[in-house]
Amino acid sequence: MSRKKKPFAFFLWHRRLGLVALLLVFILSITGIMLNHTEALHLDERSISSDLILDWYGVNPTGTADNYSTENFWISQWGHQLFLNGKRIYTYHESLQGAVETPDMLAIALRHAVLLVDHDGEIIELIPFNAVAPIAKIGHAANRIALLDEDNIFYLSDRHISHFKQQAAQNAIWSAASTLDDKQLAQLKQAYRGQGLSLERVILDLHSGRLLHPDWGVYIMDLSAIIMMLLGISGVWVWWSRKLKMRRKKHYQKHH
Amino acid sequence: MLRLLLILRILIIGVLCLPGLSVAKGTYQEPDEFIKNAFNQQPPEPAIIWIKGELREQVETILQHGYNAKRTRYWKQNNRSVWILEEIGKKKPITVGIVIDENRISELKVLVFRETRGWEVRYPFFTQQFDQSSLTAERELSNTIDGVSGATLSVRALTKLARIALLLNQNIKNI
Repeated sequence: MSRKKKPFAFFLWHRRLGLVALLLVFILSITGIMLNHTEALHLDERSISSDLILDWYGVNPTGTADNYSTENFWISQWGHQLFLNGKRIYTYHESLQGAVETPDMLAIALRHAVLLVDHDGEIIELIPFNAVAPIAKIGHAANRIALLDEDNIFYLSDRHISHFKQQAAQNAIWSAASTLDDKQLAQLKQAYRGQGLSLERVILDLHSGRLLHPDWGVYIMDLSAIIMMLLGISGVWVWWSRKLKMRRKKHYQKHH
Repeated sequence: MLRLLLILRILIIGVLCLPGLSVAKGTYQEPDEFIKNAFNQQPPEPAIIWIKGELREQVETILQHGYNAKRTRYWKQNNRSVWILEEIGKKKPITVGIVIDENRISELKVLVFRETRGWEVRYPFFTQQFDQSSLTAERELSNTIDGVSGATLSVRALTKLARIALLLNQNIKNI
Protein backbone atom coordinates (compact mmCIF):
# COMPACT_ATOMS: atom_id res chain seq x y z
CA MET A 1 0.00 0.00 0.00
CA SER A 2 2.67 2.41 1.11
CA ARG A 3 4.93 1.43 -1.86
CA LYS A 4 2.17 2.45 -4.30
CA LYS A 5 1.75 5.87 -2.60
CA LYS A 6 5.35 6.99 -3.01
CA PRO A 7 5.33 8.26 -6.64
CA PHE A 8 1.98 9.94 -6.03
CA ALA A 9 3.31 11.73 -2.90
CA PHE A 10 6.30 13.02 -4.87
CA PHE A 11 4.01 14.30 -7.61
CA LEU A 12 1.88 15.98 -4.95
CA TRP A 13 4.89 17.76 -3.47
CA HIS A 14 5.99 18.78 -6.94
CA ARG A 15 2.58 20.40 -7.45
CA ARG A 16 2.56 22.08 -4.03
CA LEU A 17 6.04 23.52 -4.51
CA GLY A 18 5.02 24.75 -7.94
CA LEU A 19 1.99 26.57 -6.51
CA VAL A 20 4.01 28.12 -3.69
CA ALA A 21 6.72 29.36 -6.02
CA LEU A 22 4.38 30.44 -8.81
CA LEU A 23 3.97 34.08 -7.73
CA LEU A 24 7.62 34.55 -6.77
CA VAL A 25 8.85 32.92 -9.97
CA PHE A 26 6.57 35.21 -11.96
CA ILE A 27 8.00 38.26 -10.13
CA LEU A 28 11.58 37.03 -10.60
CA SER A 29 11.03 36.29 -14.28
CA ILE A 30 9.17 39.47 -15.21
CA THR A 31 11.52 41.77 -13.25
CA GLY A 32 14.52 39.86 -14.63
CA ILE A 33 13.33 40.41 -18.20
CA MET A 34 12.68 44.11 -17.44
CA LEU A 35 16.16 44.56 -15.94
CA ASN A 36 17.71 42.93 -19.00
CA HIS A 37 16.15 45.73 -21.05
CA THR A 38 16.70 48.67 -18.65
CA GLU A 39 17.90 51.04 -21.33
CA ALA A 40 15.24 50.15 -23.88
CA LEU A 41 12.50 50.54 -21.26
CA HIS A 42 14.15 53.73 -19.84
CA LEU A 43 13.77 52.36 -16.31
CA ASP A 44 16.56 54.57 -14.95
CA GLU A 45 14.93 57.71 -16.35
CA ARG A 46 11.48 57.14 -14.91
CA SER A 47 10.74 58.39 -11.41
CA ILE A 48 8.26 56.88 -9.01
CA SER A 49 5.49 59.25 -7.99
CA SER A 50 3.38 56.84 -5.96
CA ASP A 51 3.11 58.09 -2.36
CA LEU A 52 2.68 54.50 -1.19
CA ILE A 53 6.03 53.38 -2.62
CA LEU A 54 7.81 56.60 -1.60
CA ASP A 55 6.48 56.20 1.95
CA TRP A 56 7.68 52.60 1.90
CA TYR A 57 11.17 53.83 1.02
CA GLY A 58 10.95 56.64 3.59
CA VAL A 59 11.63 59.42 1.06
CA ASN A 60 8.33 61.20 1.54
CA PRO A 61 8.31 64.16 3.93
CA THR A 62 6.38 63.81 7.16
CA GLY A 63 4.39 66.54 8.91
CA THR A 64 3.78 69.87 7.24
CA ALA A 65 6.08 72.55 5.87
CA ASP A 66 6.60 75.96 7.51
CA ASN A 67 6.54 78.78 4.97
CA TYR A 68 7.36 82.47 4.83
CA SER A 69 7.08 84.69 1.77
CA THR A 70 8.96 87.85 0.82
CA GLU A 71 8.27 90.07 -2.17
CA ASN A 72 9.98 87.77 -4.67
CA PHE A 73 10.69 84.56 -2.81
CA TRP A 74 9.07 81.85 -0.75
CA ILE A 75 11.09 80.13 1.92
CA SER A 76 10.05 76.80 3.39
CA GLN A 77 11.25 74.31 5.91
CA TRP A 78 10.22 70.69 5.83
CA GLY A 79 11.88 68.39 8.30
CA HIS A 80 15.36 69.81 8.72
CA GLN A 81 15.60 71.01 5.15
CA LEU A 82 15.33 74.63 4.02
CA PHE A 83 14.04 75.55 0.58
CA LEU A 84 14.11 78.74 -1.44
CA ASN A 85 11.40 78.89 -4.11
CA GLY A 86 11.11 75.12 -3.88
CA LYS A 87 14.86 74.53 -4.25
CA ARG A 88 16.73 72.86 -1.43
CA ILE A 89 19.43 75.20 -0.05
CA TYR A 90 20.44 74.08 3.43
CA THR A 91 19.96 71.53 6.18
CA TYR A 92 19.59 72.81 9.71
CA HIS A 93 18.20 71.25 12.87
CA GLU A 94 16.44 74.38 14.18
CA SER A 95 13.00 75.62 13.22
CA LEU A 96 12.40 78.42 10.73
CA GLN A 97 11.26 81.68 12.38
CA GLY A 98 10.86 83.90 9.31
CA ALA A 99 12.66 85.46 6.36
CA VAL A 100 13.23 88.91 4.90
CA GLU A 101 14.58 90.09 1.58
CA THR A 102 17.14 92.79 0.81
CA PRO A 103 18.33 93.92 -2.65
CA ASP A 104 21.36 91.56 -2.39
CA MET A 105 20.32 88.73 -0.17
CA LEU A 106 17.77 87.01 2.01
CA ALA A 107 18.05 86.75 5.79
CA ILE A 108 16.45 83.56 7.09
CA ALA A 109 15.91 83.39 10.84
CA LEU A 110 16.38 80.13 12.70
CA ARG A 111 16.15 79.89 16.47
CA HIS A 112 19.84 80.52 17.19
CA ALA A 113 21.21 81.72 13.87
CA VAL A 114 20.48 83.89 10.87
CA LEU A 115 21.24 82.30 7.53
CA LEU A 116 22.19 84.71 4.75
CA VAL A 117 21.73 83.48 1.20
CA ASP A 118 21.93 85.29 -2.12
CA HIS A 119 18.98 85.40 -4.49
CA ASP A 120 20.15 82.17 -6.15
CA GLY A 121 20.10 80.34 -2.84
CA GLU A 122 23.92 80.28 -2.45
CA ILE A 123 24.97 80.39 1.20
CA ILE A 124 26.64 83.65 2.17
CA GLU A 125 27.03 83.10 5.89
CA LEU A 126 25.42 81.54 8.93
CA ILE A 127 25.50 84.15 11.69
CA PRO A 128 25.16 82.65 15.15
CA PHE A 129 22.69 84.35 17.49
CA ASN A 130 24.02 83.94 21.01
CA ALA A 131 21.43 85.84 23.07
CA VAL A 132 19.85 84.08 26.05
CA ALA A 133 16.48 83.67 24.37
CA PRO A 134 16.12 82.31 20.85
CA ILE A 135 14.90 84.33 17.88
CA ALA A 136 11.13 84.69 17.71
CA LYS A 137 10.75 87.05 14.73
CA ILE A 138 12.68 88.63 11.90
CA GLY A 139 11.68 91.75 10.01
CA HIS A 140 12.64 95.14 8.59
CA ALA A 141 13.16 98.26 10.69
CA ALA A 142 14.94 101.51 9.78
CA ASN A 143 16.25 99.97 6.55
CA ARG A 144 18.00 97.25 8.52
CA ILE A 145 17.23 93.68 9.52
CA ALA A 146 15.49 93.46 12.87
CA LEU A 147 15.21 90.52 15.25
CA LEU A 148 12.97 90.00 18.23
CA ASP A 149 13.87 87.26 20.68
CA GLU A 150 11.45 85.28 22.82
CA ASP A 151 12.05 87.68 25.73
CA ASN A 152 10.84 90.53 23.45
CA ILE A 153 14.33 92.03 23.24
CA PHE A 154 14.88 93.93 20.00
CA TYR A 155 18.05 93.64 17.87
CA LEU A 156 19.10 95.51 14.74
CA SER A 157 21.70 94.55 12.19
CA ASP A 158 24.54 96.73 10.92
CA ARG A 159 24.66 97.89 7.30
CA HIS A 160 26.49 94.74 6.11
CA ILE A 161 24.35 92.40 8.20
CA SER A 162 27.49 91.11 9.89
CA HIS A 163 26.06 91.16 13.42
CA PHE A 164 22.99 92.11 15.46
CA LYS A 165 23.03 94.58 18.31
CA GLN A 166 20.49 95.02 21.08
CA GLN A 167 18.55 98.29 20.66
CA ALA A 168 15.47 100.03 21.95
CA ALA A 169 12.40 98.57 20.28
CA GLN A 170 11.39 100.24 17.00
CA ASN A 171 8.52 99.86 14.63
CA ALA A 172 9.24 96.87 12.48
CA ILE A 173 7.50 94.94 9.74
CA TRP A 174 7.78 91.33 10.84
CA SER A 175 7.89 88.36 8.53
CA ALA A 176 4.65 86.38 8.79
CA ALA A 177 3.95 82.74 8.02
CA SER A 178 2.31 82.08 4.68
CA THR A 179 0.63 79.15 2.98
CA LEU A 180 1.62 77.44 -0.23
CA ASP A 181 -0.63 76.78 -3.18
CA ASP A 182 -0.95 73.26 -4.61
CA LYS A 183 1.68 73.88 -7.29
CA GLN A 184 4.24 75.14 -4.77
CA LEU A 185 3.49 72.26 -2.44
CA ALA A 186 4.02 69.75 -5.25
CA GLN A 187 7.30 71.49 -6.16
CA LEU A 188 8.41 71.39 -2.54
CA LYS A 189 7.56 67.72 -2.23
CA GLN A 190 9.54 66.99 -5.38
CA ALA A 191 12.52 68.99 -4.05
CA TYR A 192 12.37 67.15 -0.72
CA ARG A 193 12.58 63.84 -2.52
CA GLY A 194 15.62 65.12 -4.43
CA GLN A 195 16.35 63.09 -7.54
CA GLY A 196 13.54 60.83 -6.40
CA LEU A 197 13.28 57.13 -6.74
CA SER A 198 13.92 55.57 -10.12
CA LEU A 199 11.76 52.78 -11.49
CA GLU A 200 14.96 50.77 -12.01
CA ARG A 201 15.70 50.90 -8.27
CA VAL A 202 12.23 49.60 -7.43
CA ILE A 203 12.37 46.81 -10.05
CA LEU A 204 15.83 45.84 -8.83
CA ASP A 205 14.62 45.70 -5.23
CA LEU A 206 11.56 43.73 -6.29
CA HIS A 207 13.81 41.29 -8.16
CA SER A 208 16.16 40.82 -5.21
CA GLY A 209 13.35 40.80 -2.64
CA ARG A 210 14.65 43.86 -0.78
CA LEU A 211 11.42 45.69 -1.51
CA LEU A 212 9.58 43.27 0.79
CA HIS A 213 12.06 43.79 3.61
CA PRO A 214 15.57 45.28 3.55
CA ASP A 215 17.03 42.46 5.66
CA TRP A 216 15.12 39.25 5.06
CA GLY A 217 13.43 40.03 1.74
CA VAL A 218 16.35 38.51 -0.17
CA TYR A 219 15.88 35.21 1.64
CA ILE A 220 12.33 34.93 0.28
CA MET A 221 13.70 35.28 -3.23
CA ASP A 222 16.49 32.82 -2.35
CA LEU A 223 13.81 30.40 -1.22
CA SER A 224 11.91 30.78 -4.47
CA ALA A 225 15.16 30.07 -6.38
CA ILE A 226 15.71 26.93 -4.28
CA ILE A 227 12.09 25.89 -4.90
CA MET A 228 12.71 26.35 -8.61
CA MET A 229 15.68 23.98 -8.41
CA LEU A 230 13.63 21.47 -6.41
CA LEU A 231 10.84 21.76 -8.98
CA GLY A 232 13.32 20.85 -11.70
CA ILE A 233 14.57 17.84 -9.73
CA SER A 234 11.10 16.67 -8.75
CA GLY A 235 9.89 17.20 -12.33
CA VAL A 236 12.65 14.95 -13.67
CA TRP A 237 11.91 12.43 -10.93
CA VAL A 238 8.16 12.34 -11.76
CA TRP A 239 8.92 12.03 -15.48
CA TRP A 240 11.49 9.27 -14.91
CA SER A 241 9.30 7.29 -12.50
CA ARG A 242 6.38 7.49 -14.96
CA LYS A 243 8.62 6.33 -17.77
CA LEU A 244 9.78 3.36 -15.69
CA LYS A 245 6.20 2.57 -14.76
CA MET A 246 5.17 2.61 -18.42
CA ARG A 247 8.10 0.39 -19.34
CA ARG A 248 7.18 -2.09 -16.63
CA LYS A 249 3.55 -2.01 -17.76
CA LYS A 250 4.53 -2.74 -21.40
CA HIS A 251 6.88 -5.50 -20.26
CA TYR A 252 4.13 -7.02 -18.12
CA GLN A 253 1.60 -6.85 -21.00
CA LYS A 254 4.10 -8.41 -23.41
CA HIS A 255 4.95 -11.39 -21.24
CA HIS A 256 1.60 -12.08 -19.64
CA MET B 1 42.13 34.03 40.77
CA LEU B 2 44.90 36.10 39.23
CA ARG B 3 42.98 36.19 35.95
CA LEU B 4 39.86 37.36 37.78
CA LEU B 5 41.81 40.17 39.43
CA LEU B 6 43.20 41.20 36.07
CA ILE B 7 39.72 41.32 34.51
CA LEU B 8 38.45 43.35 37.48
CA ARG B 9 41.36 45.76 37.12
CA ILE B 10 40.62 46.22 33.39
CA LEU B 11 36.94 46.81 34.15
CA ILE B 12 37.71 49.39 36.83
CA ILE B 13 40.15 51.23 34.55
CA GLY B 14 37.54 51.13 31.77
CA VAL B 15 34.83 52.58 34.01
CA LEU B 16 37.23 55.29 35.23
CA CYS B 17 38.03 56.20 31.62
CA LEU B 18 34.35 56.55 30.61
CA PRO B 19 33.81 60.04 32.07
CA GLY B 20 37.00 61.15 30.34
CA LEU B 21 35.65 59.97 27.02
CA SER B 22 32.32 61.73 27.48
CA VAL B 23 34.11 64.96 28.45
CA ALA B 24 36.40 64.65 25.42
CA LYS B 25 33.88 66.02 22.95
CA GLY B 26 31.96 69.20 23.58
CA THR B 27 32.30 72.95 23.86
CA TYR B 28 35.55 73.90 25.59
CA GLN B 29 35.01 77.63 25.21
CA GLU B 30 32.22 79.65 23.65
CA PRO B 31 33.46 81.52 20.55
CA ASP B 32 32.21 84.82 22.05
CA GLU B 33 34.32 84.24 25.16
CA PHE B 34 37.37 83.47 23.06
CA ILE B 35 36.93 86.73 21.11
CA LYS B 36 36.43 88.75 24.30
CA ASN B 37 39.54 87.23 25.88
CA ALA B 38 41.59 88.04 22.80
CA PHE B 39 40.65 91.74 23.11
CA ASN B 40 40.71 92.16 26.91
CA GLN B 41 36.93 91.88 27.16
CA GLN B 42 36.40 94.76 24.71
CA PRO B 43 36.09 93.19 21.29
CA PRO B 44 35.62 95.38 18.22
CA GLU B 45 32.63 94.97 15.92
CA PRO B 46 33.05 92.09 13.49
CA ALA B 47 34.22 92.84 9.97
CA ILE B 48 33.57 90.82 6.84
CA ILE B 49 35.81 89.34 4.23
CA TRP B 50 34.24 88.07 1.02
CA ILE B 51 35.73 84.82 -0.17
CA LYS B 52 35.56 85.05 -3.93
CA GLY B 53 37.70 84.92 -7.05
CA GLU B 54 41.36 84.10 -6.54
CA LEU B 55 41.03 84.08 -2.74
CA ARG B 56 38.29 81.47 -2.95
CA GLU B 57 40.47 79.31 -5.19
CA GLN B 58 43.34 79.57 -2.70
CA VAL B 59 41.08 78.72 0.24
CA GLU B 60 39.61 75.74 -1.60
CA THR B 61 43.09 74.54 -2.57
CA ILE B 62 44.04 74.48 1.11
CA LEU B 63 40.77 72.83 2.12
CA GLN B 64 40.92 70.36 -0.79
CA HIS B 65 37.16 70.83 -1.16
CA GLY B 66 34.67 73.63 -1.74
CA TYR B 67 34.13 76.40 0.81
CA ASN B 68 30.48 76.47 1.81
CA ALA B 69 30.02 80.21 2.41
CA LYS B 70 30.60 83.38 0.42
CA ARG B 71 31.98 85.39 3.28
CA THR B 72 33.34 85.03 6.78
CA ARG B 73 33.63 87.33 9.79
CA TYR B 74 36.68 88.38 11.74
CA TRP B 75 37.52 90.77 14.51
CA LYS B 76 40.40 93.19 14.10
CA GLN B 77 42.03 95.77 16.32
CA ASN B 78 45.43 97.27 15.55
CA ASN B 79 47.61 94.40 14.33
CA ARG B 80 45.57 91.68 15.96
CA SER B 81 42.87 89.73 14.19
CA VAL B 82 40.72 86.91 15.50
CA TRP B 83 39.10 84.19 13.40
CA ILE B 84 36.50 81.60 14.25
CA LEU B 85 36.66 78.92 11.60
CA GLU B 86 35.27 75.44 11.14
CA GLU B 87 36.43 72.38 9.27
CA ILE B 88 35.23 68.81 9.30
CA GLY B 89 37.63 66.36 10.95
CA LYS B 90 36.14 63.04 9.99
CA LYS B 91 32.40 63.62 9.97
CA LYS B 92 31.62 66.67 12.07
CA PRO B 93 32.97 70.23 12.11
CA ILE B 94 35.64 71.29 14.59
CA THR B 95 35.33 74.95 15.65
CA VAL B 96 38.66 76.65 16.14
CA GLY B 97 39.56 80.13 17.39
CA ILE B 98 42.75 81.65 15.98
CA VAL B 99 44.45 84.86 17.10
CA ILE B 100 46.92 86.43 14.67
CA ASP B 101 49.38 89.14 15.68
CA GLU B 102 51.56 90.71 13.02
CA ASN B 103 50.91 87.89 10.53
CA ARG B 104 51.87 85.21 13.04
CA ILE B 105 49.59 82.95 15.02
CA SER B 106 49.74 83.86 18.69
CA GLU B 107 47.00 81.48 19.80
CA LEU B 108 45.08 78.58 18.33
CA LYS B 109 42.40 76.94 20.40
CA VAL B 110 39.86 74.20 19.76
CA LEU B 111 36.56 75.71 20.90
CA VAL B 112 34.05 73.03 19.94
CA PHE B 113 34.90 69.42 19.18
CA ARG B 114 32.04 67.26 17.95
CA GLU B 115 33.82 64.09 16.81
CA THR B 116 34.18 61.03 19.02
CA ARG B 117 37.87 60.57 18.16
CA GLY B 118 40.86 62.81 17.74
CA TRP B 119 40.03 65.15 20.63
CA GLU B 120 43.68 65.08 21.78
CA VAL B 121 44.25 68.04 19.44
CA ARG B 122 42.57 70.28 22.01
CA TYR B 123 45.49 70.01 24.41
CA PRO B 124 48.11 72.80 24.56
CA PHE B 125 50.95 70.30 23.88
CA PHE B 126 49.49 70.11 20.36
CA THR B 127 48.05 73.60 19.77
CA GLN B 128 51.21 75.36 21.00
CA GLN B 129 52.98 74.01 17.92
CA PHE B 130 51.11 76.66 15.90
CA ASP B 131 52.43 79.56 18.00
CA GLN B 132 54.46 82.08 15.99
CA SER B 133 53.68 80.20 12.80
CA SER B 134 53.36 82.29 9.64
CA LEU B 135 52.44 81.51 6.04
CA THR B 136 55.20 80.67 3.58
CA ALA B 137 55.14 81.70 -0.07
CA GLU B 138 53.73 78.24 -0.86
CA ARG B 139 50.92 78.93 1.63
CA GLU B 140 52.23 76.34 4.06
CA LEU B 141 52.84 76.86 7.77
CA SER B 142 56.35 77.98 8.67
CA ASN B 143 56.29 75.69 11.72
CA THR B 144 56.41 71.92 11.46
CA ILE B 145 53.32 70.44 13.07
CA ASP B 146 53.84 66.99 14.54
CA GLY B 147 50.81 64.72 14.29
CA VAL B 148 48.99 62.95 17.09
CA SER B 149 48.49 59.24 16.64
CA GLY B 150 44.82 58.40 16.27
CA ALA B 151 43.94 62.04 15.51
CA THR B 152 45.31 62.38 11.97
CA LEU B 153 42.13 63.89 10.50
CA SER B 154 41.71 66.37 13.36
CA VAL B 155 45.37 67.42 13.02
CA ARG B 156 44.84 67.90 9.28
CA ALA B 157 41.69 69.97 9.89
CA LEU B 158 43.43 72.27 12.39
CA THR B 159 46.43 72.72 10.11
CA LYS B 160 44.15 73.70 7.22
CA LEU B 161 42.31 76.22 9.40
CA ALA B 162 45.57 77.77 10.61
CA ARG B 163 46.70 78.21 6.99
CA ILE B 164 43.32 79.67 5.98
CA ALA B 165 43.31 82.14 8.88
CA LEU B 166 46.79 83.37 7.93
CA LEU B 167 45.78 83.58 4.27
CA LEU B 168 42.61 85.55 5.05
CA ASN B 169 44.56 87.79 7.41
CA GLN B 170 46.97 88.62 4.57
CA ASN B 171 44.01 89.51 2.38
CA ILE B 172 42.24 91.86 4.78
CA LYS B 173 45.18 94.24 4.51
CA ASN B 174 44.25 94.81 0.91
CA ILE B 175 40.67 95.75 1.72
